[in-house]
Amino acid sequence: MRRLVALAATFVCLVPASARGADPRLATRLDAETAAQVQHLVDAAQSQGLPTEPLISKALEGAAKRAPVERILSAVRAQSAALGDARAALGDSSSASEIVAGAGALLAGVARDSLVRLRATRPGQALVVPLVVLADLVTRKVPTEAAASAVLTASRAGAHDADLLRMRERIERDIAAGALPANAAMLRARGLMPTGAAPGAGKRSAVRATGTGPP
Amino acid sequence: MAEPDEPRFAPGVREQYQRGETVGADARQRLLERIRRAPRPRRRGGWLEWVPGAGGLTPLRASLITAGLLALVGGALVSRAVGPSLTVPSPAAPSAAAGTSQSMVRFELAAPGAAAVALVGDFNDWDPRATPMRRTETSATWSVSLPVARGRHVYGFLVDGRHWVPDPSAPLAPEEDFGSASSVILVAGVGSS
Repeated sequence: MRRLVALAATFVCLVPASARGADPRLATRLDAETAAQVQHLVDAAQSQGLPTEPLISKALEGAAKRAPVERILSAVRAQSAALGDARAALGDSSSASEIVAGAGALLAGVARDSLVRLRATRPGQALVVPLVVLADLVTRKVPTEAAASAVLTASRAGAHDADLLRMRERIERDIAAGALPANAAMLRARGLMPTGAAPGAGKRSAVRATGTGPP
Repeated sequence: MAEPDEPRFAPGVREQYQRGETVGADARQRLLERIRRAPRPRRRGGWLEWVPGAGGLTPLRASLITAGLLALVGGALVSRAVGPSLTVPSPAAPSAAAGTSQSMVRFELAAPGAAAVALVGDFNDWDPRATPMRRTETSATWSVSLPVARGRHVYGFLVDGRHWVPDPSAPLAPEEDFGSASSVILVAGVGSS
C-alpha cells in the first residue's frame, strides 16, 4: 500500500500541473506537449486573475489553421499580454468582459492611452460596448486616433451604449457609401453631441483634446 | 539600280544553272548508304509534340489533350468559385432576439465549385466539424444560421477542408496570427444600456 501511495505521489510530482488539468478542448485538438504548454500559459493567466477563454480560443484557432506550435504559443502569449495590458489600462476593478474587449481593441491597434481616457470618461460605467465599437471602427479602416476620438467624443457627450452602436452602424454605412473612414467617424460622433454643442461650443475642447478636431 | 553589264552576262549564268549537276551512280549509292547508317534523330520532347500538326494526332494524344483541357477549365472554375473576389456578399445581419444574450446570424458564402464548406470561428471553438454549411437551392451559395453571443467575433470559412476564406461581406480581422485572414462580425446588443 505504501508503495502504491509513493508511486502515485511520484506521478503527481512528475507530471506538470498544466498537463493534469488540461482543458479538454486543448487536449483533443492539440498534441499532448503543445496542449500542456498552452495550458501552462492559461494557468499563469488565471493565477493573475485574467480571463482565460480568449487564450484557449486563440490556441484552438491555431490548431484549426494547422499553425506551427511556436506560432500558436506566440499568439497565445500575445493575447495574454494584451489582456494584462487592458486590465492595467482599465483598472483592477474591470470586469472580465471589459478586459477581453479592451484586449481586442489593443490587438486591433488602439493605443493603451485611449483605454485609460475612456475609463476616465465613463467612470463606474461598463465599457464593453465602447471598447467593442472602438475595435470595430479600427477594423473598418478608421485610423486608430480618429476611432478613439470618435468614441471618446461620443462618450463625453453622454452617448449611451445604444447610441454608440447606432453611431457605428452609421459610420459603416457612410464608409460603404464612399466616405473617408476618419471623416465618417468624426462627423457621426459630432452628430451625437447635444444640439447647440457644435464645434466652437463647450464640447469642442473634447474634440481638440484628441488632436483630431477642427482647427 | 541595274548593273550596266547585266545583258551581257545573263545568258551565261542562265545556261550554267539550267545545265544542272550530274552525280555519278556510285556517288549516289554512297550517299544513300550513309543516310541508312546514320542514327535516327531523336524526337523532340517539347510541348509542340502535343499540338496537332506538329507531331501528329494519335487517339492517345487526342484523349490526353482533351483531359488536359478539361482539367484546365475545371481548375479555373474551382479557383473562381472559392476565391473571395467572386463570392457573393452575405448579409450576415444579426436578428437580435430581445431579452437574450444571443442573436441569430445567417452566414453565406458563394462557392459553386466547393464540395463542402464549414463556418469556423471563436463562437464554435474553431471546430471545423461543428458548423457545416448547406448548399442553397441555387447550388452556388452555402449558408448557415446559428445563434451567436452578442459581441465581437472572429471567424472564417473552411472550403473543402483546406482553404480558409474570409467573409467577403465583413471586414478583415486586424490580428492575423496564423497566416490566413479571418473576418470580424459585431453582433449588436452587447450589454446595451
